[in-house]
Amino acid sequence: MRKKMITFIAALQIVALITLTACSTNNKNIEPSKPSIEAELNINKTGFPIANEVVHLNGLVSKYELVKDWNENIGLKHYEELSNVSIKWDAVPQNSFDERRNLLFASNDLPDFVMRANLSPQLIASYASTGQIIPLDDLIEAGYAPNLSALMEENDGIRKAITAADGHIYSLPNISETDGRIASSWINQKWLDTLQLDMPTTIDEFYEVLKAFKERDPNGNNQPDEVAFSGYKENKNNAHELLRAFYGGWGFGGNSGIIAPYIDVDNDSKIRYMATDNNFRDMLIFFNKLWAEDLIDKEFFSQDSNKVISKVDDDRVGFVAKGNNNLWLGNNRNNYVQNPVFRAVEGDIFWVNINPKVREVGSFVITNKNTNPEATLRWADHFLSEEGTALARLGIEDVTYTIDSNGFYKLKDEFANNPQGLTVDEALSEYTIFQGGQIIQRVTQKVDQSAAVLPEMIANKDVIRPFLVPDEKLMIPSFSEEENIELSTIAPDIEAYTEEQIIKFVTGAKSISEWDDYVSSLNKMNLENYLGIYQAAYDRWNQ
Amino acid sequence: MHIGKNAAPASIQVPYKKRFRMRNNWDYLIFIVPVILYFLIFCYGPMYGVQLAFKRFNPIHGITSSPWIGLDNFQRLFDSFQFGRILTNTLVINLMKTFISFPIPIILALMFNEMKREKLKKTFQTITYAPYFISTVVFVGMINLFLGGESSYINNILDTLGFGPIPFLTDPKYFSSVYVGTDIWRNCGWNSIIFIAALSAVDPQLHESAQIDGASRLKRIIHVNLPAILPTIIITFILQLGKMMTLSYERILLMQNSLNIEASEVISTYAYKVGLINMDYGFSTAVGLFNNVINIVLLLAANKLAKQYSSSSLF
Amino acid sequence: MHSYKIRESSSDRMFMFITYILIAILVLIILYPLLYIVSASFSDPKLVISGKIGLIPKGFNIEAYQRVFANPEIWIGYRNTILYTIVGTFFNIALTMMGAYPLARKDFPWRRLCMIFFTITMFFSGGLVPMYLLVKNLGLYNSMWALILPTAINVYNMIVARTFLESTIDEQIYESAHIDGCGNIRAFFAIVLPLSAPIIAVLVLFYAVFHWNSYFEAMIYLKDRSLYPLQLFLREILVMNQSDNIMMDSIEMDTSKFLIAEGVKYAVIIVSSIPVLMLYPFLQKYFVKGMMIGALKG
Repeated sequence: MRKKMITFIAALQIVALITLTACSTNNKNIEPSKPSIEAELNINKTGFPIANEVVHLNGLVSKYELVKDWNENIGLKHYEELSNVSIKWDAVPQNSFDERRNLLFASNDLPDFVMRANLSPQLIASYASTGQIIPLDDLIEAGYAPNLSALMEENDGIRKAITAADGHIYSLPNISETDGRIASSWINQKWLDTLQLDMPTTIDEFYEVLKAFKERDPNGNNQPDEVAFSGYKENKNNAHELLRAFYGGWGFGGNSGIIAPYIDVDNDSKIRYMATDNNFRDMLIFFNKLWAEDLIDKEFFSQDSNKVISKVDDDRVGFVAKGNNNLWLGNNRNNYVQNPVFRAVEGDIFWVNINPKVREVGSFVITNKNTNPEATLRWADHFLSEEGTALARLGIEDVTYTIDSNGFYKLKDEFANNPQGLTVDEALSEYTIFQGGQIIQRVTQKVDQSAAVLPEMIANKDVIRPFLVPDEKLMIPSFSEEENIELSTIAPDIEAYTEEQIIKFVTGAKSISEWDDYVSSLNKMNLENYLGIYQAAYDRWNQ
Repeated sequence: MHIGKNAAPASIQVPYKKRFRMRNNWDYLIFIVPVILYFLIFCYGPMYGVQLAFKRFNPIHGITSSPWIGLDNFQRLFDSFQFGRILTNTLVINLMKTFISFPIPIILALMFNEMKREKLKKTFQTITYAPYFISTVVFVGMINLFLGGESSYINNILDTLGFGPIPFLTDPKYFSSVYVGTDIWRNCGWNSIIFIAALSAVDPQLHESAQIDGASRLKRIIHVNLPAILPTIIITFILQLGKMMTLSYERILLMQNSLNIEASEVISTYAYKVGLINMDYGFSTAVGLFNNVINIVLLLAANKLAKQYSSSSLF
Repeated sequence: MHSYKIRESSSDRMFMFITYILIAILVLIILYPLLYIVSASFSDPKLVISGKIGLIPKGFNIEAYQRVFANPEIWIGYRNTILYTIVGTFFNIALTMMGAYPLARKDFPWRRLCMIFFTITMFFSGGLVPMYLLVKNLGLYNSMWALILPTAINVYNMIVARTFLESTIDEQIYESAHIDGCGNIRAFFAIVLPLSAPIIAVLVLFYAVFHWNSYFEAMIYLKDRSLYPLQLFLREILVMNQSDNIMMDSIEMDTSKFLIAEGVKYAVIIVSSIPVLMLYPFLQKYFVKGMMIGALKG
């Protein structure tokens, strides 16, 4: 017995020693090799196949659960045959993805490219400054991204959006030209009808409506259980989430809060901080009134979306400002319609809840480890064509979808209305890769099969369409590495302080008479530099 | 080698024992060497990463060749308008954990130890330790359900008792109590296990003789059981003090909302949020280092006190 | 306490009565929410969210469980988790006891030094990046050992084990063993291991539960899905069922479809924690009082 144990312990020690020696072997960084002439000859700039001889690549991708297996995906297999580009996927579950991606970059242990990369402009700048992701402009110039080149020619906004602060293009975006990019707010039309009220158009009328919702028992159950104005907590920027459907009514309307909360661009192309503007103060006074009179859900800042859905289901909610369509509201969704912009000031008013056409800019990047960036770029660029987007979203022609005589793509019935009761996302899970979003694609009404193309949803958007902030004003900022570093020092405080104080003004925890103190505190936190950085980003973008 | 079974007090034996030590200690190495190797490889090996606290990390250069930036990372933490507040919040919650949550598992273990019906005892213990397995997300979900909102279970009860609804989750002044209270609910059973194990090693003869002397149960608990588990109590207490600046961000982040943020922002959640912006490994290392320097000072102080006033200490 | 033969005094009976009452109250406070979880996992998610269910499921359905088990990978996850837990815990116990034993012996000369050496690692660690590089260079990446070796010893547990050995095993016992010609190694197997059943049981519980619940190491170090532990699959299921992740949907969707995530949350707890929960009653028999101490002394 004793002997056995000693042998065992000795064995353990040997194992430990071996691992120790193994530890000392160095990992050497592989120098990024330049693409060879051969590689270039192998790659076709147009048509298929992309490569004459099979090109093998390692791709890192964030795996959404509903895309079954990236290595076995039928749509991708189909594309592999077509393109002669064979990809070995490292598919990391979406909820672990950011951590793994950051770690791979931090330890310089890189794949050839990253799909669904989910990179913020800050991270793009940071990885570009280390040289880990490569600039694509030369390759684009050389014609390896025919679809992107055509799009950029046709619409300069796209080039502006994907160009980093140093003038290079590092990443490929997700482009959406459908109504899906417009966020809505929803008012309970059934309640308005029950109470015989007109659709409010000004902020004062809106107040009267909320009051009526609260006090006049529109759901007819003889209980004061109505919540006039509901909503749920997000991970951050809750004050902004509460207010943003109303910015436009108070005349804000450059770029409200898309690039950063409370950043707006005025008519003279000057960046301004909405949250220190006097109109904004008036808005807070109004919201404080709603809060004090119990017209806003007291659980607004603490409940999650499911709680709101269940309240809607119980016919208890009058107004909610979330979602780009009303499907999420569940069984009672048809009671809700888009409200017009509630006017609060004279002059121009806007609907500001709109994403730029180009979004999720960091959806696709190529690393410096890649020996065949030409093939990689062409492979990715295909997803920006109509067929490519259809491949990503709808699968394979005649297998999962058909194209009608007007050129509109339609899912086959067994996928659109799955007999086993699967949702569209589930039914397509072996054919498509769009589930979970964030992929490189260009969605147009033609290839879209989401709720955004439903006639009633388009009608909802028509109410606010004339007031939409024009695309020219929707900037996506990109920062230089120096700007990034400065922002990361001053932005957290400014953003946290603003958020906190606004909520205090709304809930009355702080009186609006302290407004001036609040403004001067923000100035002390270097608001000027903060805005200066955004101004520089805007000027670069606006060239 | 010829000492009788009833060895004389150690002090008399010193010269003999010393000799005996030198000769026989080599065999401890078989035990301790693999353990030391483990720590060398997996703990001290990667420890060069600590220097990131003073550096701007550049992955291409690697950790050792990234440029030094002195105390910039620490400066960022100290300069924040939130610094005083997040420090206070962290300390308040941990002080409550140390002085309110800490004794409860001990009392629980002592009470379980008195129970005679084995089946019932087993069942009860299993129940009390079960909450430990609830995932953080669901745990916070349940806190919301039971405490949040005006129509939650607890508020319904308070309402009928005439205390009116209490905004447990949205009023900053309740945050630390709710956090610590629910923490006790979740962990008291689990934390009592170690004390239950220590109690099981108490010599029954001690109890019997105490009983013959006519000591009541309470007296026996105080004079027999408590001293027996005192070393475990002291050590776990010292280790608890060594966690004074540590709070896991995950749960607090989930319990946080815009209304309670004054009381719920702690060092770890702040570092998490700031670090997210551009994956700043340097900053998060600096925050960790700052916390742990304080932790280790507290631990050493506690250890010194323990050494002075009791027979148990870490080292 | 079966061995007490002397009759209880009335004050003792009062004391016991109060003890039982207190424990009963505590158990109720803990039990209610636990049963609630079980009930919620079988209920209509909408009723769960609106707080309408109690201890008995309402709108009984097992859809949440169907969702969880619809994924055949769950079984792979179970298998892997059980394997990692068993192998990992074995290494943990072996190394922890090997560390705790010399530290508990007064005649081990580098006791204090070793304690300091070990305790430092509780406070200073290199962080994620060097650890990842180490695992990669040792060739542990994408293997079970990446989950086992880097976490082979928990200093806290080792200190607790040391304290237990120190306070329960008298130096006298070692000395008398010495006289019988028993070296430190044999003393470990002949005296320490048999006497440390309670602390080993505690360590098994601590480590096994750690392995069972851990996902972070797996998330960082594992690449092949066939190696994933249960927790990674369960986390994926949770994310998938969040309504805000649904992109395109059939127009005829029922509210409870959206809300299924709520039920899944609770079902996942049941699915993942029942097996470890059963570990405790099994280990509890090692907590029996005064095991063998008397025998050895006598």
